Amino acid sequence: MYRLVLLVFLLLIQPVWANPDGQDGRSERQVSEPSGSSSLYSRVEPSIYQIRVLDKRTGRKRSIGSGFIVARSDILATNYHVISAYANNPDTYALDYFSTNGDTGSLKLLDVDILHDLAVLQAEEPLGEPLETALIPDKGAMLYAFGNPLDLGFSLVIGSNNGVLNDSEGKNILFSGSLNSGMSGGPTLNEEGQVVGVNVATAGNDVSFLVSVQYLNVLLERLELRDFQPVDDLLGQVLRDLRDHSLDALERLLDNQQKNNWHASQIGHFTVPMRLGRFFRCWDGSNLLDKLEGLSVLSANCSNELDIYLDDGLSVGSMQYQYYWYEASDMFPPRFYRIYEAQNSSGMEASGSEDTVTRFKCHTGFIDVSGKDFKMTFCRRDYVRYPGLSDLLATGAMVGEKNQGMLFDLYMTGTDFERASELVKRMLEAFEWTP
Amino acid sequence: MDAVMDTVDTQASAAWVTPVLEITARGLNQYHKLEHFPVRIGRALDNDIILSDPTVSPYHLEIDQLENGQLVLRNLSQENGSRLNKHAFETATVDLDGVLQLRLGTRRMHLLRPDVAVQQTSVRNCKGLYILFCNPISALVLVVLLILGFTLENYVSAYTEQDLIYYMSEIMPYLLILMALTLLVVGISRLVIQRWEVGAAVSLSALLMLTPNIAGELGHFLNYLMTADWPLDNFSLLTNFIAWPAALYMYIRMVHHAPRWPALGIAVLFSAPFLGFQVSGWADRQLIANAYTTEANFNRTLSSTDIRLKPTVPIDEYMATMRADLKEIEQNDD
Repeated sequence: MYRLVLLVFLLLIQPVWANPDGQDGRSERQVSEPSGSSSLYSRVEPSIYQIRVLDKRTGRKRSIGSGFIVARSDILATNYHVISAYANNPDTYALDYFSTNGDTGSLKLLDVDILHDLAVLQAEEPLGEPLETALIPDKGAMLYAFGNPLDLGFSLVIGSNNGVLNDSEGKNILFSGSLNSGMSGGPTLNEEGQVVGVNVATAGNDVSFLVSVQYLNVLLERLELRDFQPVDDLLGQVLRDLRDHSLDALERLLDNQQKNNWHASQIGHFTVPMRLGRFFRCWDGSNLLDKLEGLSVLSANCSNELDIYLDDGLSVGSMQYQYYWYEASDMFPPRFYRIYEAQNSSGMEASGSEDTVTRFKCHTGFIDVSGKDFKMTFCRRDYVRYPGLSDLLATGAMVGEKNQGMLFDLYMTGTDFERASELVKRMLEAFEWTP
Repeated sequence: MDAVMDTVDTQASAAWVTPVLEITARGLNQYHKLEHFPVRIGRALDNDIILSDPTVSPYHLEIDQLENGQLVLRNLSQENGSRLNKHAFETATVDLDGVLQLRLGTRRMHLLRPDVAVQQTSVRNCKGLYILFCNPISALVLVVLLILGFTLENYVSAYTEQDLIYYMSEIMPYLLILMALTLLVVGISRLVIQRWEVGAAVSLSALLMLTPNIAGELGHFLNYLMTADWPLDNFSLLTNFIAWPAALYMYIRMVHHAPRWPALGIAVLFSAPFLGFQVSGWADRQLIANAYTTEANFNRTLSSTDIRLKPTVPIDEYMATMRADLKEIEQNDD
């Protein structure tokens, strides 16, 4: 709530901040001049740094990213995932910066926004001119992304703004440029040299994503109110943010159902809930499976396409589920069930390791779903360092029909197990068998 | 070592009897009635009893009978000597009372009185489960079952429709294995009992091949029935542990007419490699089951007959039991 108020407040004052005549000495004034990209390059170069996570024992870099000076001359902004190794293991790793002219210095972690993959760091001394921030320009406007791709040196990538992705939870900016790993955390500037986004991800083929700078501003504002003191219980704050987010998302979905906003769809003889909310994207998979003789397969899968990065190989917040319908009208039932069982045995893949998540524990039973018998299994595993966060895996297979089968697979990561299982229960209750 | 052994038994118990010399050989023993004394035993061809064993000397032992019925044994061998009831001797005078154990070199033999009771005649009636081995019809039935069983399995696991030719070619390897196994069994038996018992060998081979499959099917059925994974693992292990030795035991009893305990011993001995393999597989599974994994382990079997113990319950009931079962996971929970 607090953040929302801040966000609104900041959005209102954004244009004022960007106005050279507006402010006190909080951010250095840049004289805006129409710039070619090369003059932009030289102008902002001193404000952009490589951020490194070093192994304390060997002094060598474990991972690198980019960061930039913002709000104050000793404050650097970057992505959370750039410094996550340090955030998760502060005793093993150290943070430092590396400038384009070879200067280095150590950094302190002040605060993070785990949901938007942002982190704010502080250097021991003033580093240079902070960059200004601004609202996203019009679609199609030219944007300039800076950073340190693949540790090859300071670089500029030019692309165009393709707008904010309003149908995704993160509301990232779609940037048509080729970002590379190493550029994560670097700024993307408008023509005037103001930061509109923070480089966060790429899907290849000139499809890249930026975190809207408004979220960074919220984070900075929060820090400013604390006088840029580091947050004392980072883990606790991250955990709270994740739990709040997950519970909010679940409540919204449950609410959607109450308001009959779940889009239903027909798969075989079942009408099932498909899109549960506006952040879900669903695909049909029927034509992806080979059509076996006499066996027809219909399938669909949906995902909220959210991946909140926590640590190497560990991301949370995602929800994906799929439906498969099998029908073989003339097949000898034991043969049909052989195929059906083989399909049931290929499950969803999960990642993780012994020190981040526990093992799955499962409970299997048979339930009545719209008059049909389903063999249902719920599995749970907990996050070791984030108590209260769990993964939920649910699998259901229809039994009792000689030549028809239905598989339902669902996987949610980093969620509240009780509430999430309530959501899955409602999904199952929404199944309808139509003969 | 070479103690001269004097008269073992001074009781002049002997009525005049014709001793019988039993030379034990693998499988069938040779018997010689000692009627004309002295009897000379050795490897040379001018002995009364010729033994072709390389550890027996050309002239090894002489047996003579005294007027009172006692036997005089004289060792003639310099190389490996003779032993009577495990004691080496040069000359010995004995009464034929019961069974005397002799050893010439490494060749064992017994001196018996003709009135020594012999083992009961082994009657292997073709009844009960033994029908499987003695009735040639059962061999045929088992082979047909084998073909049907494997073909059904191939049919059910084929994802697309196939021609008859396909199934015929799929069954070929199994028939070849059956032949090889039969050959092995019948060959070993032939060497031992000097008879060809093809029907029984076919039955045994077919049974050995069928058991793992039947166990697998039953195990799968049980897995679905119990909604758990342990039945198949343990059940199939159990069946194999019992079924193979049992089949072998019955075969040996039936065909070789071996007494119970030796038959059991041989059965277990010959099953050992396969059983060892099964046990190592089981041990591996136990190891994996306890190791850390990111996979979710639960029973995924499905069955067209849907025969199960767990009843279908309303969703709410399942959710309640599930939540109680899946409360916070301990780090080391299974």
